[in-house]
Order: sequence, then C-alpha cells, then structure tokens
Amino acid sequence: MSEILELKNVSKQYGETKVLDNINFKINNNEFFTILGSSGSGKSTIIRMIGGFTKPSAGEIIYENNIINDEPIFNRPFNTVFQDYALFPNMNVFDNVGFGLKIKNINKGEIEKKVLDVLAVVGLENFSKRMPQELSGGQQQRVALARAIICEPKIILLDEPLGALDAELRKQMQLFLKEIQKKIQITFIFITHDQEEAIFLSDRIAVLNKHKFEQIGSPKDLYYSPQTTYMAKFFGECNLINCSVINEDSKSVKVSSKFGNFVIPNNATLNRDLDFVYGIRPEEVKLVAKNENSMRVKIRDISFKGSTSTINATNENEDALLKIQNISSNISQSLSVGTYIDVEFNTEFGSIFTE
Amino acid sequence: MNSISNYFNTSIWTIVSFVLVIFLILIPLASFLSYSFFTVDGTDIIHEFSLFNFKEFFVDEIYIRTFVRTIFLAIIVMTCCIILGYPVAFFLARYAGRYKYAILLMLIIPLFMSYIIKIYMMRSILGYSGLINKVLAMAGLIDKPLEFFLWNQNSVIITLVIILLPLIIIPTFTSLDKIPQNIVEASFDLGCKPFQAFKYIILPISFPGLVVGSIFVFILALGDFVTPQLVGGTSGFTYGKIIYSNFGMAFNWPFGAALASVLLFVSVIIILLTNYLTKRLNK
Repeated sequence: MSEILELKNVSKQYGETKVLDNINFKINNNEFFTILGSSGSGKSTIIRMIGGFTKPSAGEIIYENNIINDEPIFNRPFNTVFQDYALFPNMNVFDNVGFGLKIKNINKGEIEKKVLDVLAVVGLENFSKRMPQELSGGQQQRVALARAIICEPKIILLDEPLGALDAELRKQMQLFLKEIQKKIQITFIFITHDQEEAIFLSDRIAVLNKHKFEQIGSPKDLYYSPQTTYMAKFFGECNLINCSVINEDSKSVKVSSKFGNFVIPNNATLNRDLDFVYGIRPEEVKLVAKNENSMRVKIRDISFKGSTSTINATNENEDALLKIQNISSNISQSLSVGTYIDVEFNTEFGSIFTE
Repeated sequence: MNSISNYFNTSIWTIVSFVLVIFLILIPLASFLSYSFFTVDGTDIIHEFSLFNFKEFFVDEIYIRTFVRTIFLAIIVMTCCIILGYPVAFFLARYAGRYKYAILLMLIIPLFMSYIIKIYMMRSILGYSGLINKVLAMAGLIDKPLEFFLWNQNSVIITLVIILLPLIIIPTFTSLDKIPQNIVEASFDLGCKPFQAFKYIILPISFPGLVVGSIFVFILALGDFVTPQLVGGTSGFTYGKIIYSNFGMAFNWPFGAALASVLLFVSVIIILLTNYLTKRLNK
C-alpha cells in the first residue's frame, strides 16, 4: 500500500494553549483512517490543518512527498464533509453538489451528468430540486458527502459527520459510509468521539488523548495489544495490577502482586523494569481449582447479566479490586458474596505496561 | 380539544392584528387618499368625485419633471448608500470580531437622534463657514469658501446619504452576520478563491438584506422634504416639498393628496418589482 499523507512532528497552539503536541502519522492510499478522541482533544484541529483551514504551529504536513503547510485551501486535492454539513442555503441540492465542478469551469452538460450520477450513488436522485432546508439531517449529510465525492478528491475529510444524527440513522449512515468508501476507493480521514463507530468503520484508528496520540493501529491491534494503560482501559475494561518480579528464567517470569504470585511468559523483546503494571481483561480471568499458580480472592459482588455474570473480587486486605467477566451464570449461582474463589489469568492475553 | 383551543387562540390573534391594521392604517390612509378625488374652491373642499387633480399632475409638466428628478435623486442616494454601506457591513460582520456589536451600536445611536438636529449638524459641517471649508482654509488649500457643499443638489445627496446610511448597514449586517463561517470554508474547500466565495456564496446570501436596506433608503429619500428644504437651497424643490406646500401654504389638500397617491403608487410598484426580481434571482 502506498502512502498518501504524512503528518510529521505537527504541533498546534493558540497563544499559550497547546492543542496538539507532536503529532506523527502516515495514511495509506484508500484507507479508512479514524481519529478518535473526546471533545476538546484537538481532533478537529488535525483535520482542519490537513484541509488547510488552519496552519500548524510547528511540523510538516506532507502530501505525496510535498510539504503543503502553506498551500491554500482551494489548491488542496481534499474535500471536507463538515460537522453540520455546511450546505449552501442559497442553492438547491443539484447546485450544491455541482458547485465544485462549476468553480473548475467544467461545462454544464458534463456537470449535469456527473451530479445525477453522484446523486444516484448517495440515493438522492429525486431530490435534486429541493433546497437544503427542506431535507432531513440524514439527507443533508448525503448531499454534503456527494458534494465532496463529485470533485474526485484524493482524500475526503469527515469532521464528526454523524454527530448530529439520532442513533438509528447513525447506524444506517455508518453502513452507508463504509460501503461507499469501498465503492469509490478514496482515502477517508474520519473524526469521531464514538468508539463503536470507530471500530466498525475503520481500517486503522488513531486514539488522541491529552493532545497526543496514545496509539495508532487496527481496531484489533488496539484491543489486543494496548501499548499504554490508557489504551488498555479505553476499549473495554482491563484489570491493571502492580507487579514486581520475584525471579525469571528464559521462558517465564514469576511476579508478586496484591492478589498473590503468578507466572507470565517471559517475552525478551519487551522492554520492562522489575516493577511494572500488568493488564488483564476481565474475560481473561478464569475460575480454577486451587493449584500452585492460582490466586485466592474474595467475592465482593456478583452481577447477573443473563447467561453470564460479572464478579468483582478483592484481595485478602480488600485494597485491590479484580473484575472477572463471562463467568457462566450456572457457576456463579453457586457462589456467594464474601466467600473465596481461586483464579488464574490467561497470561497469553495479558499486557505489560512500564509506566 | 387542544388543537381546537389552539385554533381559537390563533384566530383571535389573527383577527386582532387584522383589526389593528384596518383601523389604524388602512382606513386613515383610504380616507386621506379619497381627498385626491375632491377639488377646492378658494379654501373650501368640494366633496364631489373628480379626476381634476390627476389631470393637473399630468398636464403641468413641472410636476412630472420634479417627480422624475426626485426619483433620480433617490436612486443616487440609494446607490451611494449601497456603495458605502455594503463594505462597512461586510467588514463589521466578518472582520470586526468582538468589537462588531460596539461599532454597530455606534451606527444605531444616530437613529435615536432627532432628524432635524442631524440635518443642522450636516449644515454646520458643509456650510460656507462649516467644518470642511474651515479646515481647507486653514490648510491653505482654498482662498474663499467652496460652494460645492451647500445649497445645491450635492448637499442634499450628501446629507441624505449620511442620515440614511445606517438603514442600509443594519439589515445588510444582519444577513451577513448570520452566514456561518463553515459555509464560507466549504466554498474554499470546493475550490473557490476569495472573490469567487464572495460572488457565489456571500453576496447571494446577503442580497435580501441589502435589498431591504436599499428599499428603506430609496423610499425615505423619495418622500423626504425637510432635508432639501434645509440644505438644498433653490434646488431643494423636490416632490416631497411640493406635496408639503400643498398641504401647508397652498392649502390645497385634494391636490396634495393626489400627488401623495402618485408617490405611494410608484413606491408600492417599486417594492413589488424589487421583491419579484429578488425572488427570480434566487431561483
């Protein structure tokens, strides 16, 4: 896959306020790339810098080996789908969609043909004479997308385009976006604060936290190999346990923790100290019969979730909490609060964080 | 039940507003206009239907000539107001940032001042010993006061433009101010250079506001008779002035009413025509 866009050491600050701090990433051609972050994390600023609406305070934006920091908006081969659509209120759907071509002085016949084609792609063939104010949110969204697609940009920037839609419509539009991106083969850079949406849509996700990227990777990478404790807790839940190494050999490491001692595989490639944080997802904690590797924990509460249950357990001193998920309800039924159980970790799914 | 009571409430307010308009505006206006079909004998008004006044208007060419001249005057004033007002409104709405409402307030304050005071103020600026002539004389640029600014058509135009300018700035500003920034950004995004963004997006969206302001200015300039009288000298003989003197000095109410009817008729035609053209343009 070839690379289309790169942000190199990009920072942005407004006066004293730092919005983005040393952002680096590369985007491949035809990729669906999502920037995921909470509101105020600076994710819109990234897309606005790529689009040319604001300039980075430091660093470079590189498009196909050219630095485009100072390229004016109208020269960039990107088109934006704005959060609240930004359709032109003085033009009907047809003119809105055809606007980009009209500016490029393409002749009327060709514009008409292309507009009708693109309207068919987004399913709005019968709405070309409507004014934007007469359309529903989802329809306006489609017009905004059609208006971007028709210019055949190299990259389409989508700034939380589904933010204003209700849940039902949102689901529909997600499916629609995913399908259309496959069909037209254009790189999408998508911004959202919704994890589920990001996982469903994206080839790769960049998670933005406190003005920096925590991790960039495919949805599966982010879930199965979180690189920071923030990431471990970001998708789903994760027990984070402070550990110290007792002894180790080439194959395994024995560590102590508040829950007791346990053994994890020794991964030599991983850089770690003698003290580290071990992350294990609640569904990777299993109930076992007592053995030399198991740990004894006290049940604090059991919540019934249908076929499975979730158990919150504590150590002997009751100063550390362990969450256990996906326990068959048949088993949890026989357990009661305050009693002890023996647990083991599926250590192949654990992660090590050096903080 | 709810919808019935709603309907009831709505219809009451509709009736009230119609009654108010009919009794406070339409009936007085109609009774006034009905005078245009009467005639006078000495100082007595003869209450008999006659088209004499309208015949008079068309026969004596001074009326039509003055009328046409006044329309031209109003068009010039309106054009000057558009040329001066639009850039001001544009600057205010797009570049004045947090100062915009403060500046706007300064433009509105003169509207609360008496109209007569503003005209006298203009006289003290434009006059022979007014501010402009004094400054020019002190700078040594002129030997004797310029006559360009007072007692002629120019002074009428300058004064009207300055008095009426806020009326075009305010509605234009309002329509420019409500254009969201992201719509302008979207136009750049789709390849517009700044001038194209102005031509295709900003101007069409703000056009209705500009039209409203222009109609205000045009109608007010057309009917004005105080300004021409106070700063216009001999060329202050506008159509409004003729109407005024028929009600005042000449005491010929029926003829005054007939002249006013013609003015009203033409004004309404102009408003309807502008409205129609604006709608066609936006299609």
